[in-house]
Amino acid sequence: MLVRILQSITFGLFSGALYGIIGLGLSLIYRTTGVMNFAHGNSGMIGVFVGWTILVLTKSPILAILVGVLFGALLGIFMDKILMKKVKGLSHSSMLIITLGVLLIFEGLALIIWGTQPLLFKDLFSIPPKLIYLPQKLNPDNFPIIIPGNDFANFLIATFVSVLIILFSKITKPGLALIARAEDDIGAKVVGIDVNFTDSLAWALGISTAVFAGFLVAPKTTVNPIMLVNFQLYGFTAAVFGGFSSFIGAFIGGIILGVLEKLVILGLDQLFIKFGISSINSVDLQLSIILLIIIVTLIIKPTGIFGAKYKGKV
Amino acid sequence: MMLEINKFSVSYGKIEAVKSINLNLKEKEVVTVVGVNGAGKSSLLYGICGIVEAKGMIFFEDQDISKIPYSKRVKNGMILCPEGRRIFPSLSVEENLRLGSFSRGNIKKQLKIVYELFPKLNERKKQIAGYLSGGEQQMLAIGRALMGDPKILMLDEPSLGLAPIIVDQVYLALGELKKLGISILLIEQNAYQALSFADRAYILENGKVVIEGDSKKLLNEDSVRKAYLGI
Repeated sequence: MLVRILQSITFGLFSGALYGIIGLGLSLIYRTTGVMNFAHGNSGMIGVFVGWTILVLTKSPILAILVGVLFGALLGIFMDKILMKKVKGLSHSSMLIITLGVLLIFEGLALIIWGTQPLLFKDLFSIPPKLIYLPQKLNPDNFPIIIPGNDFANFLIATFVSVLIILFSKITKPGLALIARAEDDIGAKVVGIDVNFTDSLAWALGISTAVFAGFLVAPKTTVNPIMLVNFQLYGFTAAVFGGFSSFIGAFIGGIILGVLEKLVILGLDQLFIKFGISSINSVDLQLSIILLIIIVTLIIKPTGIFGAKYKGKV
Repeated sequence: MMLEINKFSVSYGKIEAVKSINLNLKEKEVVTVVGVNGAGKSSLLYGICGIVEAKGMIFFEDQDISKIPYSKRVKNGMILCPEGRRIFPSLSVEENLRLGSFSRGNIKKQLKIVYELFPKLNERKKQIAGYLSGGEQQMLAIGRALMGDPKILMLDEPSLGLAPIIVDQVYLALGELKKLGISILLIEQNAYQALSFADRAYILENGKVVIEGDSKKLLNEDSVRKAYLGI
């Protein structure tokens, strides 16, 4: 049993880092501009499609990822400068509706341009899985803990990029401007921060991280128009869970969410076995579990597990 | 002339909040603009800073700045301490102050000045700003404005929502700033405080200047006392 729990935690960490990086992107945009970006996953998906096209044309996966991520940044700037221009500062709900529209448009666009056939995006590297055996005393059945090499690499990359973005926001001048703008827009303006710049920066960073996360999951999900729809929900949950109040909270929220999800699945598995239920596969309940976690978090601790450092007006 | 505005108007859609105002401020002078709620005081300051759009001319140190964006105006040394304080609530006191030097001002030098002026901020520098009391938050907001080494400091109702004893403390601090030779444009509803503190005053009503002059004289004028001081 210990092995199975540790196995679930390992898998949870790996998927959690991906939830975390998407949550971080959502949180960047939300905290800075006040918009919950419903088109987040689909913006990432479009970026991955662009990258896939580059891959087909040039056969260079590195170039594909670079172009895809850069495209994501430009897409973010486009959303901020063109789509949000008229409604910015007037109404958050109008901005929200725009992102909903963009969600549908992107899905349609992807269908028209690239079709419904799932496209393959090969693994960037193939690292063999590693098996870890616990000592006999803890592990009577002698089952190994499996660490899939590629998932582990993805976990490291996602964590590295997230830490980089968090450091960027804490140390660099544009990063500090972003934080100040997220805290108070007038406050930011009076110290001389150009909030048009910070808003575009948040959108650019946010969408490019979504594209990047898309590339990380693409070998598993294939490249298709709904590849990131669920991931957006997971990222959203991660951000709610971590309490939107800090960028680091969104990432750690993702990690915890991943682990929690896999542990709940394991627990359900055991229950189903115990009661002889074979009609439900607990893995299929992943989305339901995540949605339940959002609801439970919002009921018990709406400020997220880390809470807001300061409970200001909402 | 430190600041001069001519035929200056601020509108929100069809509503004109500030109607063709002329106002000037010499170097090291303290000028106050008083008026009741909705007289257009805050709009005037936001317009001068460039945070809201305005029509008319603004000269800062005899340069026309009416076309340059707010971030450049801050860089030139026009610094606003906005109404409602607008500090960064979940950052620490010192992080707030450091952000005050975002565009101009030497962090080390300005921090020393601010901490000397407000020793309480020094004591609380690691605290989360949102948890400070109202008076401390106001001091932090003024401190943050000072971090930008202002040539002209604009204060929007620094006494708003504070207990009388705290208001006195805030004005004591402003007196120190006056001694440092910073030009101050002070906006207040608390007319008595403001008129006693300033050199010159403008009285604003419905977006227009109705009276202007030496503030001590205005303080003793019967019509002003009746209409704006309630004495």
